[in-house]
Order: sequence, then C-alpha cells, then structure tokens
Amino acid sequence: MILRRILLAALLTAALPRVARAQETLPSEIVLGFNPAENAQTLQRSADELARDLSDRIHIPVRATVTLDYTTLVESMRSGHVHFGWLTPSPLVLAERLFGVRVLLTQVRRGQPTYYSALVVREDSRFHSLEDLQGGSIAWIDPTSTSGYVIPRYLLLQRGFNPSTFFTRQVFAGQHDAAVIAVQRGQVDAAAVWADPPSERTGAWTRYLANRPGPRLRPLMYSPPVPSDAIATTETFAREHPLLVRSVSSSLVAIGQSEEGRAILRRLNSTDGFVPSDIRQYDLVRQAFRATRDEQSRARSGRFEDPRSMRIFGLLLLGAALLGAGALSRRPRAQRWSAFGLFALALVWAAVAARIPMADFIKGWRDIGQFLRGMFPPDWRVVAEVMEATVLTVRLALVGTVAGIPLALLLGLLSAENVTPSGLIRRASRFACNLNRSIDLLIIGLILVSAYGPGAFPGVGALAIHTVGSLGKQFYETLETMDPGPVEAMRSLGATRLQVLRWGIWPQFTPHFVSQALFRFELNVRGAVVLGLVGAQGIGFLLQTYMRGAEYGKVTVVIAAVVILVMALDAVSSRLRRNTA
Amino acid sequence: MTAAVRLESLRKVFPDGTVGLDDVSLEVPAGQFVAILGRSGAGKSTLLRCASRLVEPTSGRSFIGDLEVTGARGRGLARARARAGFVFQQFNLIRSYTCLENVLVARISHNGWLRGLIGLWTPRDHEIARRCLDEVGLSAKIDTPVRSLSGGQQQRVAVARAFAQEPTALFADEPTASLDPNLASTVLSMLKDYGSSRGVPVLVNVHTIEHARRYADRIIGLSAGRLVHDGPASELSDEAVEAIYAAPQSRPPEDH
Repeated sequence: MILRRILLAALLTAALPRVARAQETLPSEIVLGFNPAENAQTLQRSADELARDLSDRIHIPVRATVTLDYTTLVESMRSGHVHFGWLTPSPLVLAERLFGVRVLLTQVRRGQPTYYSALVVREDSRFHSLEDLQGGSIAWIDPTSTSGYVIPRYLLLQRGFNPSTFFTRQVFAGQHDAAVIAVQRGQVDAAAVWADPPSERTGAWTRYLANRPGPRLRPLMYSPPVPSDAIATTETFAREHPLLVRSVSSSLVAIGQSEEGRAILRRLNSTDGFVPSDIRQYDLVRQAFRATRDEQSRARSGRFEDPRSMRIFGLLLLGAALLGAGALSRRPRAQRWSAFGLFALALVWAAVAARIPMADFIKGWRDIGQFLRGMFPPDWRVVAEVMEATVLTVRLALVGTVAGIPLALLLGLLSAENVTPSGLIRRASRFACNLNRSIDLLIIGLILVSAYGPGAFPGVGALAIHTVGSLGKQFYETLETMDPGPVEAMRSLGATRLQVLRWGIWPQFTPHFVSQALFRFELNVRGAVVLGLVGAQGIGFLLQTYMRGAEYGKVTVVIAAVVILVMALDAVSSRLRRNTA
Repeated sequence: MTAAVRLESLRKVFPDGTVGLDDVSLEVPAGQFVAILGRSGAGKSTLLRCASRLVEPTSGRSFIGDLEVTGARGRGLARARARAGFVFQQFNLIRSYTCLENVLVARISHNGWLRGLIGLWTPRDHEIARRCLDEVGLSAKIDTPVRSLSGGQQQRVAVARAFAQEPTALFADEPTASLDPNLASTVLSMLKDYGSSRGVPVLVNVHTIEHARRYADRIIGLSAGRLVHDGPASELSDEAVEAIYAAPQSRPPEDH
C-alpha cells in the first residue's frame, strides 16, 4: 500500500507540469460526499461504483459517503471529512457562503449542464397565469431545494409578488413526488418542482405521475435555465492539493466519456457526464439564494397558519381557560359546561386549521402497510454494522450517565431538606434541577449538535446534562424520605453535619442511589437511540440513514437490535436493582 | 458532690405554641436510675432531648457532668451531645450495616473528624465495640447485618452502641415500648447494671409502672410539661400514679 502510494506520487509528479511539481502530500484516502436523491436506495451502491472507478484512475483509495441531508454534507466538507462533494446548487451556494468552495465540474443531463424549475397546476384547474394563483396554496420541496424553493420564490419576488402574502398557505412536501401528488389530489393548488427544457413540457409531474391514475398536471411557469449539480471541493483543499484536485477533475470527466463509466453515472441521478465549470455559472442561484434568505424570516411566520385563524384559536383557548379556572373554583354547572364546549370547539378548530384530512390518514395507513412489507425479509448483511452502532449507543449512554451523576448527587444533596439546612441554597439548587429538567433531552441534543457538529460528544453531553437535572430531582426527593432515626442517633453520638450525612443518611440512600442511577442509565440508552435522530452518533443515526435511504430491510435489523437491547437492559437492571434493594 | 445531670428551669415551646416543657428543674446524682412516667405527650421525650440538645430548649440550662450542654456551639455542641448515650424506642440503627459497624460509629466523638467521617476506627475502638457487644450478649452476631436481627437483638445493639460511646449519662426514650415484656426486662437491667457499676446516671422514659417500680431508684412524673412527682421508687403510691396520669388540669374541656 505504502509502496503504491510512493509510486503514485512519483507518477503524478512526473506526469504533471514542472511548475506544479511543488511538494504536495497526498491524503491517505479521498472521500466523495453525496446527498440523498430520490433514488437513495441505490445511491450508495452506485456511489461506491463511481468511487472504485475513480480510485482505479487516480491510484488513491476513494470512499463514497451518503450523508443524512444537504446540511450534513456541507458541514462534513467544512470539517474536512468529505473532500469532494456532489452538491445541488443551493447547498453549493450555502457552502460558498460558509467557507468558500471551488467548483470543478457541472453535471450534464440530457446533453445539457442545466435544468429548469416549474410551477405546476392541475390540467383542469382555473389557473392559467401566475396572477391566477394569488390567494391559493403551494407546495414547496424544502428550504434548501433549488428548483423546489429557492429559484421559484426568487422569480416570484422578481415579479413583485411576496410569496408569504401571495399564497394563503405554503407547505413543504419534502420530495418532488409528494409535491406533485399533493397537486393531483387537490390538497394544494400548485407545486414548485424540477423540469426538463420547456420545449419538452416534461418534468417531475410527468415522471412521478406516469403510473398514477387521476388528473394530469401542466406547467404554469418556467424558470430560466438553472445550472445542474456541481462537483466541488473546499477552497482550502484546492489550494493544498492542486494536482490531486486537477487529477480528480479530469478523471471524472473521463469517466463520463467511457462506456462503463457512463453506465455508472446514469444511475446517479441520470447523469450523462461532467463539464468543467466554476462558481460564476451559479450566479442565478447565488442571487436567488440571497433574495430568498432575506425574505425567509418574514415568510416563516406565515408558513402554516394564516394569522386570523391563529387569533380565533387563541381566543377560544383563552376563553376556555378562563372558564375552566372558574369551573375549578366551584362555579355553576352552566359555566363548567360552556368551558368544556369552548375547549371542544377549540380542538375542532385546531384540527381544521391544521388541515388533517381523513383521506390522507387512511392513505397513510396504506403507506405504513407498504413500509412493513418492505421490512421483510430483513437485510442481515448489516448485522455487524448495527451491532457496532448498538455498542456505541450503550457506551454513549454509559459515559453520559456516569458523567452526569456527580453533579446530580451534589444538587440532590443541596436540595434535600434533611441534608442542607439553608433554605436559600435548597431553593437555588432545586431551581437549577427544574430548569435543567424543563429542557427536553432532544432539544439539548439539537443545540449541542448544532454547536459541535454530529458525532459522539453531543450525544454524551446531552445525556449528561439531562441526567443532572432528572437524577438530581429524583435524588433529593428520595433523600427526604430517609428515616430520620439514624440521623438523630448520629447526632446524639456527637457526629458533625457531614458525619451525620455519611452514617445517618448515606447507608440508607445507597440502594436507592444505585437503583435510580441504573434506571437512569436504562432511560439514557433509549435516549441515546433517539438522539441519533438529531445527528448524535449511534444506532439512531443508522436508523435514520436507512430510513432516508428507504432501506427498510436494514431498518428491520436496527429495530430488532433496539428491541433486544432494551429488553436485555430491562432484565439486567431489574435484577441488579432487586439485588441492591 | 456535683450532680451528674442537672437541669435548670428547662422550658420548651414548639413553633406551633405547644408547651413541651414547662420550667423543669432536676438533679440526678451519679449512678442513680431514674424512671420518668407520664401520659404520652406529657413531655418525657422532650425532656431527654432538650437535656442533650437533640431538641433546642427555648430557655433554661442543662449540665451533664461539669459541662453545660446548653452553652456549647458548633463542634463543641457535637462533643457535648456525645456525653449522653441515647437509646431510642425505634433503635435508630443503620440497618444495612453489621452489629460491629453500628457499635463502632459510637466511637465517632473519640476520634478526629476525618477518621470519624471515613470510619477509620482504631484497634482500641474495635476492642471497646466488641466488649460492649459481649456485654449485651451479642458476641455471636458481630458480623450479622442489623436488619436480619430480631427487635430485641436490635435494641441490645443500640444499648451496646450507647455503652461504646463511654457516656457520662445514659438517656433512654421508651427503650422497651417496641419489645415484649421479657426482652424489656433484659434491656432495663442492662441499663441499670451499667449505671450502677460505672456510676453513670440513667434516665429512662417508661410506660409501665411495674417496670419503673422494679428497676428505678427514683421516679419522677411529668404532666403537660411540668414536673408533678419526684420521689423514691419504693414510695410511689397509687394516688401519686393517678395524679401523674390524670388529665392535666390546665387543659381546656374537650369538645363533645
């Protein structure tokens, strides 16, 4: 391996122009990052194939990684875990804003390095111009989608329409297929999706509805051509490894020109090949990104609810609360019933305002059925990976719990009336516990993940912080139920305060301490699983990855592992607790 | 000769206004066994607890030996409390610890603070603890956890603990209330023997007059926090008993 790298370096230096023959140390491995497209199920496999092909050409190990979402890919590039990213235009612009990127190539599809965004409506609808849509509803894809959000919003703004007021309702469909289906069903009036060149009048609406009976959709408005996905690296990496970057770049172009390379690329979002490119090609997206970012804060408040229905709902709830308070103070029955009525009304209003149609509910059940069918047979090939993640999760929970215990114990002791005589200290300490407890584990996790990036630390940190508050409260509540007899005996023996704590309280508390800490550990394991969903490491992360990739057979293995883990823990910890009691 | 226990006008008013002790003065010479009689709530427990300052008296003074317990503060208070060995009705032992460990903690006031905190007992402490357990007849149970002992055995561990403290005075608050009569006699005679052999005054709250008559040198009676009887055990008349257990006169008539 080392020999091969030396050989390669020699080859590279020999092959490349003299000027560039400066010292360039090569990374031991190159990582290509992909973000999940709609055919994510096969994405990893195709990405691996591409990585292998590239590796054969540049003689350096190449690994392909499919990240959770665009944001993770951008963050992974920033942190240097991913060297080359396959980025859709908006994340590319985001990355440019965050740390500076070097665009190497632009993807070619249908012979063009561009594609389009379109607003689509139902064939049979009354909408024939953009103006007709005023007061209607729209499905966007998600806030980082170029054709499904950034570009079409920019076009609206350019035509003098503020999307937040132009539409009465906006939703994020998440995927292009979900967006066009929502239009077909009449749940929204329009959707913003990707499109082929306007002359062809095809796009997401023809692709995803091809096999679905029901009304057809038609494009209402097209965008100018939008540059396709980019292959980019960070400015820093490009500066440090100019030869390598050039070599990767030319190899990727060459792959697009070879027969088998083209076959691999086809499976990667219907790519034909790559053309050399730079960031200027993405000016339209940069402008659009800037414009939509600026109006986003205003748009956010009106995304799901119109203010009027919010206000009515609020008034109803307030009225019910006031009457309810009255009811508690033994008011006449009529008032109690009207409070109940108002509350029921508010509930109905909430359901209506949230637009929860029954048909979707039933459709959802059918989808769950499909999901369940997809889960079998389980994909046992991932067992090793899942077990590794399971062990990691347990380790996170263990470290988090143990790290939280000392402070939890201190707060517990400072909060307990029979330990701490000062009422002021007790109140302060209890306040600290309750404040800590009032912030949910997941929220702590989210904050830490955004601060430290995905990985092990946010998980451990969130669990430790959460442990302090919840265990601290449990500790002081238990401490206060301790038998005062031994305490009095120790005082009569001439023990000082700390000695009383040691001999009068601690021996009584020990079994409770052990059992509560064990139980907290058990809860923290479950917490660690869920924390994986917000980007902390472990089995939850794996679950999320498989879910996003629609790899339900692997999901089955994860779920099985979680179930076994939780049951095993329950058995072990209940036995241990019985023994200490 | 100075009295081994001397109480001067001890008074205790609880935060809710209840008068627990009302101007009680008492002198007990070394080696005397005093039984304290009274209805429940008459102030028997409060008397012993105020005397050793497990409960803070409102006013008055308490001396154990030549030390004024009521004048002590901080670490000195802890030392002062240690002068009185205390036996409780509910034993108040560390249930998960062995007999020996329970008796060893009595040595806490004879050791430095840190030694007492971490339980680093000296060989002498061990020797004393073993001897005291032997004295109450529990040598065989030294390493048995207290929780697996019977009630009578547990109270004997508690008595051994009080002995190991090497107290200047012995207080026992209803030590026999949780025991059957035979065991009660055993515990009382142990306390009496210890007091008379070492010249330590013993003050015991009892609820059976028969026990008081049999073991005590002197019987005092409390009613509504007041000392209403004080005399040799042999002279306790039925009228005196009636007076002690009569409803306090100062009490308002009960609702009907």
